[in-house]
Amino acid sequence: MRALYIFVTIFVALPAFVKASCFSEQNDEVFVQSLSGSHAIFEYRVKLFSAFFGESVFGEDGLFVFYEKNGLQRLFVFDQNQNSVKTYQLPRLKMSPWLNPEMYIEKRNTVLARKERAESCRQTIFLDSATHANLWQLRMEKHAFLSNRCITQKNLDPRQFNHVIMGFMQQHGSRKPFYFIKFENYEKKMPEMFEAYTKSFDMIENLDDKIVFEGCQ
Amino acid sequence: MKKFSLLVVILLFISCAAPQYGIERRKADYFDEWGLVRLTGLNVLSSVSGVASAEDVAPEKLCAEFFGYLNVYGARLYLDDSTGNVSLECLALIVPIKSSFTEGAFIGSMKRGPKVWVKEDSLYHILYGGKEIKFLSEENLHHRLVCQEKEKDSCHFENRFERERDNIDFKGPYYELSIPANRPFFSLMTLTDPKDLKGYKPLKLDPSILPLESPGYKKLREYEESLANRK
Repeated sequence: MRALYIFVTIFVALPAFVKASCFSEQNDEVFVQSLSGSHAIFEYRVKLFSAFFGESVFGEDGLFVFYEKNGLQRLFVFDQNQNSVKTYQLPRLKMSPWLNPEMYIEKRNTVLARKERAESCRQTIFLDSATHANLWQLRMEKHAFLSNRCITQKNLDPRQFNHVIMGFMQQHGSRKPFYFIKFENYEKKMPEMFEAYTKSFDMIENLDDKIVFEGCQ
Repeated sequence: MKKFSLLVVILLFISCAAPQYGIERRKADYFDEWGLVRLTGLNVLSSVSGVASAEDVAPEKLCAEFFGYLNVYGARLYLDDSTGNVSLECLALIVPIKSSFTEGAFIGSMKRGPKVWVKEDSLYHILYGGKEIKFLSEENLHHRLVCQEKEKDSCHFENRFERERDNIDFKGPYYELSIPANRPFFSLMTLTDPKDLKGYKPLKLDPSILPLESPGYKKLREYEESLANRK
């Protein structure tokens, strides 16, 4: 009977452990440490945007948000002291890396080599003061990551790999990174922690929808 | 008791009758930018002759059988033009934020079973026991026999693994190899011991069902097509 009790307890408690390992708690040093390693995933994005737009893009302090959806990659650079947002877009590749990564990399190298197109792929937009305040209240860097491990099998869709928010808060030369994968809220009641991710996606998606880069194809 | 014996006999009969599958060579390609691992089973073999059905060789099922239970998001069986045989491709993601291919998928796909690893000097050092892995890659992995005894108590390991002695819960002989960390791309290929594939024949499938794609692979291929047609 005791063995049965232990078994049932473990069985019931297991989902809680699984959930706990897929998104970060505030100030969770372990996860933040794994994100900020020298080879963190956002470093590749830094290299890509630097290669096309120049390294000065990452020269100032601010909140750097890479947003990827449907094979399109954009970068938003937010400044806490002003409501202007520098936005950048890499030319559309019309493919994702998931089935043929070598072909994706080759195509990207060809496209990024045509730097004369860079000017049409950047613009500055302005936020209203409420949106600006809401964005800085989100504190994305305090919610270090939400990976696809959080998402239960029934609502896992491989296309979500291409729908992410990642980036870092840059202050005085140090970077606090974050990485969120898009999830569909099929659960009746999600843990409160998910609210921050939902709000982040709502805000960035809303911003993303408003921006059009004419001539950046 | 009679019923139990009958059940055992039936289960034994079923297990004997079920075809077994094998692969001649296994290849693992790692793309650090996305935490993407592509595992390829080159030349899929079957223990029984005759044409197998699509249900028998569901690609994800074969991925799990050959490479372990990974986070496979897409898999397919396809006709390899260079050999004329059927090969298997499994696409998996390891936790994309950690950029560490020792997270089971990469090394685990090459060598099943317990192993111990340590990261030191930009290298992942891996200690494993049992049958030696036959590497076909040209990478210098510094792969070597470190102790041919079966029991760990009779072996002395390098300091990095002496510190892990309590975690070495597998039998020898013991081998060590080193893989460079922080590489954007890394690829390994290994050969299955031909003795383990004795009597196996190339897998035969009705060519009209090839490539045979898992639901996840099909979904992604359709997504790729939609991206290509996007204005």
